[in-house]
Amino acid sequence: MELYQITLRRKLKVEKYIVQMDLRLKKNAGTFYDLMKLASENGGLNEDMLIKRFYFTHPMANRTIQRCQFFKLIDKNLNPQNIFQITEDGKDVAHNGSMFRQESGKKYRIYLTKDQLVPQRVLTIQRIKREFTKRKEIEKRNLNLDGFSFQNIIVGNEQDDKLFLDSNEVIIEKCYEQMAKDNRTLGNLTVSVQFSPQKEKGDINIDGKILDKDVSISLNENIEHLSFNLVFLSLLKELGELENWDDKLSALRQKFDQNGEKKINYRNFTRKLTISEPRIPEIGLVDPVSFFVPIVPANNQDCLDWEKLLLKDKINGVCLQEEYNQKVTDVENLMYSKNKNYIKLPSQQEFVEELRLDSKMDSIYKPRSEKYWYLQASLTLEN
Amino acid sequence: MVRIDIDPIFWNNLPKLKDEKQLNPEDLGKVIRPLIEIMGHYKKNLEINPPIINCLKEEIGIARFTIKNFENLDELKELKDEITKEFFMEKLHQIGNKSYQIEESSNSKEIILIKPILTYKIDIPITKNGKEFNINITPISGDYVSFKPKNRKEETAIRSIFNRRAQAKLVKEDNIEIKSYKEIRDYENSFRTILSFRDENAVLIKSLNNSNKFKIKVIPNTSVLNKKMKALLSLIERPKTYFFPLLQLFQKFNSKINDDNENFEKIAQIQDGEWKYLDQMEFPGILQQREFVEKALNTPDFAILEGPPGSGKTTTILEILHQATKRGQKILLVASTHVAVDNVLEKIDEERQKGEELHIFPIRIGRVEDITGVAKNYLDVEVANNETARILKELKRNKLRKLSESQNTFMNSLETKKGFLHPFTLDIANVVCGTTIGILNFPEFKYKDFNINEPFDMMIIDEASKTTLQEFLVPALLAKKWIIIGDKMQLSPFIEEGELKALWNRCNLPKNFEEDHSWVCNEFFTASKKNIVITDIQSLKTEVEENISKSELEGIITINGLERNTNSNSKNNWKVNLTEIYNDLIRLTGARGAIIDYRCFTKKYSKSILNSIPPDFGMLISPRIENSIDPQIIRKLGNICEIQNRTSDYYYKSTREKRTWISSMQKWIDAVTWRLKRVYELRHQFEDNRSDTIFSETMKDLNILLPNWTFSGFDDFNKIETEDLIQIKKAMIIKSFNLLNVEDIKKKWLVSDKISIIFENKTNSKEFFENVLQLYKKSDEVMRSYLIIEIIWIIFKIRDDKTQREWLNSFKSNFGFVFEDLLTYSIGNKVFDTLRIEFPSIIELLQEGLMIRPEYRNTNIYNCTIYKGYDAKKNFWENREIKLTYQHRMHPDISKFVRDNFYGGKQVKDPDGTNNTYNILTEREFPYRNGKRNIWYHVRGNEEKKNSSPKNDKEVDVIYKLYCDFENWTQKNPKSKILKNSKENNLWSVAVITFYRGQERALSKKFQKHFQSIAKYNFKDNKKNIKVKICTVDRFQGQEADVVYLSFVRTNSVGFLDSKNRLNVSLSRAKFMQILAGNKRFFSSNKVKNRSPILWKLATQIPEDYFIEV
Repeated sequence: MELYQITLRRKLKVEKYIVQMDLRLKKNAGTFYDLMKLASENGGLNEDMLIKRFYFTHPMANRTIQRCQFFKLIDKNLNPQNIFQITEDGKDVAHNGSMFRQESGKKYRIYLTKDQLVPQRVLTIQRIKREFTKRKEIEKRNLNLDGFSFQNIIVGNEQDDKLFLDSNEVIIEKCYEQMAKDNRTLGNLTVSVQFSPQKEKGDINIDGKILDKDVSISLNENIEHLSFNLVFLSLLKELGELENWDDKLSALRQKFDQNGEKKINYRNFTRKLTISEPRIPEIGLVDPVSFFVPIVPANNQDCLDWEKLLLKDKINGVCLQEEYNQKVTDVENLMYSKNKNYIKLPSQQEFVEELRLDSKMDSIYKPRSEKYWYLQASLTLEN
Repeated sequence: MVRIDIDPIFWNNLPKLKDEKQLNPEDLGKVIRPLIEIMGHYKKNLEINPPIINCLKEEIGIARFTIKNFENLDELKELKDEITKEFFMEKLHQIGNKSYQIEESSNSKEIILIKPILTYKIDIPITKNGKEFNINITPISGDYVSFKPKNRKEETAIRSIFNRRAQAKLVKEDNIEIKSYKEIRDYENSFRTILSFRDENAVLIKSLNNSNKFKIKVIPNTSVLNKKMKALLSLIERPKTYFFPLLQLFQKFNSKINDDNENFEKIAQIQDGEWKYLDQMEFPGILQQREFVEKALNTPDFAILEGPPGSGKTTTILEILHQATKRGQKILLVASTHVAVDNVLEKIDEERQKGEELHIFPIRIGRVEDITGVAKNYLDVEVANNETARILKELKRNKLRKLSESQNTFMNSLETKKGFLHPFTLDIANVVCGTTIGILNFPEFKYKDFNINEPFDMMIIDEASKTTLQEFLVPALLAKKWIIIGDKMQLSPFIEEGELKALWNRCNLPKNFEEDHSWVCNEFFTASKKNIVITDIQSLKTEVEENISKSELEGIITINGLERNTNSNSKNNWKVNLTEIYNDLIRLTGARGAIIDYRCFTKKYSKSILNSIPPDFGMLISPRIENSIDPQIIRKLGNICEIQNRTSDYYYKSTREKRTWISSMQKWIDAVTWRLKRVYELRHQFEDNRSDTIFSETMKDLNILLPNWTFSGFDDFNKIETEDLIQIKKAMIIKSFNLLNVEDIKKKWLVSDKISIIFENKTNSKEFFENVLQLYKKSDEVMRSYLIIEIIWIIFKIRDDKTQREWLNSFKSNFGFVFEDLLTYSIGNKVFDTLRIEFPSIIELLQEGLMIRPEYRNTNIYNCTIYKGYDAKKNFWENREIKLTYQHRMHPDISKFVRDNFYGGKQVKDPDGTNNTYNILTEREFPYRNGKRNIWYHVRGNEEKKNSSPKNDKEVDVIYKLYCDFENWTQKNPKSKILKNSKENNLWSVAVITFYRGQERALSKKFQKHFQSIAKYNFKDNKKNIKVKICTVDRFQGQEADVVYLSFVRTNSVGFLDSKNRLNVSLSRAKFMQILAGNKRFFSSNKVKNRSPILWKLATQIPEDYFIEV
């Protein structure tokens, strides 16, 4: 079976706001990394440990414990062994070397989207250093983003991009209610979902341009509830071809019509399907989509006609008996491989007669071709 | 001009006021905008015309000496004390063939100046107590360059280089115009200073291979100014939610909300056993201190502690730090002076040495050279480096035993990553200290535009009487609540003259102000000093007229004996009316001075007019008319004056040279600026309610000096009466005059016509004003001012009192906004408006508000704290303030004068031992010179004024003699022997303080010689059990000493000794004994009595037998 895949695309509706927020950003933990390593070795921390193992002075140790508690890296209460137990956050610091730090009351530009294809609502956050909003633009709105954590999707190397928060994980602690809608045009963001029958799950890619900068990201999270089959079948349904789909062969039963659509390629057993307004349950409307679907003959007559077409393609010169037989088996094998069935082709004599008949029929309307005159000749030179 | 862009997102997200209204940035803007504008102008002024100063490379070498093979630090200290100039001279002569000469140097003891330049290392072996030591003298390469300032301006420029307020750049060639920054780099090499010698006006710089003489350009460092501006801008542009209480200070509110009980909940209560510093119940006043600590912990916004000298402010701060840190809070501790901050750190260090204060982890922010004593150990970089070194040493020592994985990675990080521990120490620090501006070097503030992520829980500001509003706001934006500690009766903030002068740039003075208009003020002012000023009364008519009407009241006569000449054939338009002149001249007897028009002096009449002027009047010609007056007449007048022995040189001479003109204009600005400063300094004299004080005299001078031909405004537009309309009319005339061009005259007629049509048609005032208001809205600016003039004119014309009142009232209600506009225009108002904000300290502002002095009460006063002080929200502030009433420093004899004269007997009370409490009298028992604690030595010296700062050599001698006597006594009586229950060390602390820098230098020289020391202002002799500090009064605020010598210096005039605040500080520093040295006769004279009643009281009220003639 041939590999084929479907890529669904659509433009994201991105809302941009200028907001004031309190955030928690992941930053290098510095000395806290070493402290948490010490804590994970011993299951927790206390002043005594800091003094004996890290040789901190007493006031330093005292403050260190307080700060660790402030960052919720250790528990607030002593356990029976007189140790402040390390928390999950603390373990995380010991593992990754980075920890969350507060950033409060600053102004940001926030990019939001509500597309089901994108698993995170906040696309990215950009810090605004000094830019003034107009009084008219201010409105009260509740975005309900509190406690929202996301992966920053826009990372760049150029200077402007430094304004985008450079950490991998950001947690929004508080989003202030008064905000302004940002009406600047920033370019388009397109989200695409790739489906392939083998993976059976979609990979989400987002690409496009923001402020003239190419953005291309793929999110690791798969859309679990959507499978290739669901998308594919719903596309077929859209075309009205669902009943022709042969599930066993994973191919479309196609009527043979040599003078039919050009998008049908009998030689390759594929057909290009194009849908102008595809609508897929749970995804909705996406941009026009084209994909190549495997096809097989609809019935035995089609099958025979199809085989004859393939055979004709193969005969392009003087063909002796042996060669003819070889070509017939090739065609029959090919058809079998695709269709799990084939119709026996006529013998060379019968086939020639058939062709002669056809060409006579043709001759009424058409001038004679070179092939015709060749066929008029006797089959063997002796005759 | 600085642009202020208010960001509505931040303002809208702020909490709402009690009446559900949003805070209004405009209210804040009224105070903040002038401050920002002044700073902007000041910055611009600094950047224009940087001074260029001549320098001279000198043949002096600098060397550093180190002592080797000492065993411990005490030994090293002892050795260093012994090494003197003479010692080096002797040793160097013994060794070298060259004869070296050691220069005196103000720098630290390790540095010596050697002449001629030393090129190689020298080792000097010495033996002491049978031990051998080695002294290495290593030359430091570089050029020793001294600056040669020519005048005071250059001197201050050089001082600013040393204070790092300016940067010096080398000027390679003269007359090169440098436009871009790149070019600057090509032409001016940065002056890289290796060492600086403040008192020698010299620096050691990287060798330049230049000629011996060269010039430098002093480029001011405006970074501090920038920071201050940024702070103010971020407060108004992007306020964060925790700024809310700060913003409320400026917020106008209606009085109803104000009535609420503004008490706050007590969450933290401290149990009896928990007190650490305030644990001795026998101290009177301790309950007040405790109450304040609790208030500081509980208040959601502000708390104010007013503590007179010696009342235990530092102890209270320590207790707050202790209690707050115990509760896990982070605190920012700031003060205007380094000493105040370091004092607290010193106390914390003492506790830490004892093994206590474990939950305070302090960090000091600042430059090493500014920090004194143990506070240096708490410098952020020092702490990080020392801890890194110590921890690494320990870890390496234990390496042999196996280290755990975490220990290994920690050791690795410490070793490989430079400054690894620095951010961590800053993170865990819970007390961050520094000066109000210096604190901005804290890495988190440095780059963050006052947008810090974790604001401090509390800011404590010490010595708040020295901190202005703008200075306070810089660190205040980094904390969530503010504890303000100070005493408004002590020294006020120091304000730079340049900043005050920048005020004029803000006043929208007319473009030709410096050329013409200011001379009018100057003329009248000069006349008031018993002078006849010859000027042009006919030109600049409005200004002159305005001045005339006011100065007549001040006793300045205007002699204008001119009539318009109707005879058109005559060249001159004016005719002299001699009889009128003579009539005016008769009035001169008893007058303060006169202004006379120059046209009166014709060849014919000059002599006779001059002869009629009393001889005690000086004669001056205003430079304004230099070109109009006939030079022959000038010469003639000069000659007559010479014959009459009349002083006439002031303006007369200056007209000869154009240059002196410009500088005399400068003098006008200087005169005004200086007086404005004085008025503030003497503000307490206002309470004396007398007209003969310097305060009222200076106010009078200012009244004449300040341009008063614009509208100076009233408290409230609603209160103005018909007579006041003249003022408004005049202001409008000036305003329209400034805008005037030829075409506008047509508009004047147009407006006048329209108004009269409206007036004729409508007899009802309501209808009239409705129509006029419509016209006003359609008109342009020039027409608008004419329109107001016309309305005023119409109101004036109404004869009937009742209808006139009715019309006036509708004018007020309809055109109130015009009045506000005028206020912003008037010069006098702008000056005073800004000064009110510029001068007062934050503590004074909060307590008394901006309207403290009646002379400032010219503008609209809002019902908010910044304008009204405590009066605005009585309940609120009373719940947040504590006044400390007891003092624990001074012997009762010393404290009495301070208590009675500066605190009205209410504060600075002595703990008298009743009910078994602490008794300061017994604590300060002291057998030296039985019983005499507060002594005035009458010194018949004379003040000398060299350059700028006066000195008095005789007083230096007297103080030195008295000191020597005391030193003889201390040698036999170490402190611990005398004070048996004292924990203190053996040294008696002595402070020699004076009001003037000149005297400070003279004293320093004397004591330097006495101690044979290289140090200049701090001396110590362990054998004699004494340490001495020489200091000016202004810098000594916040410090104390066992014995204080105060030198008054002045013998002719009082100078700035008349400032109540300064006198208070100078008289409240001594613990055991205070010795005043000054000319008693002078200070008890009537002259002083008038000028400074308190100083006179001091000289006369101290009991007779306490005086000892020297």
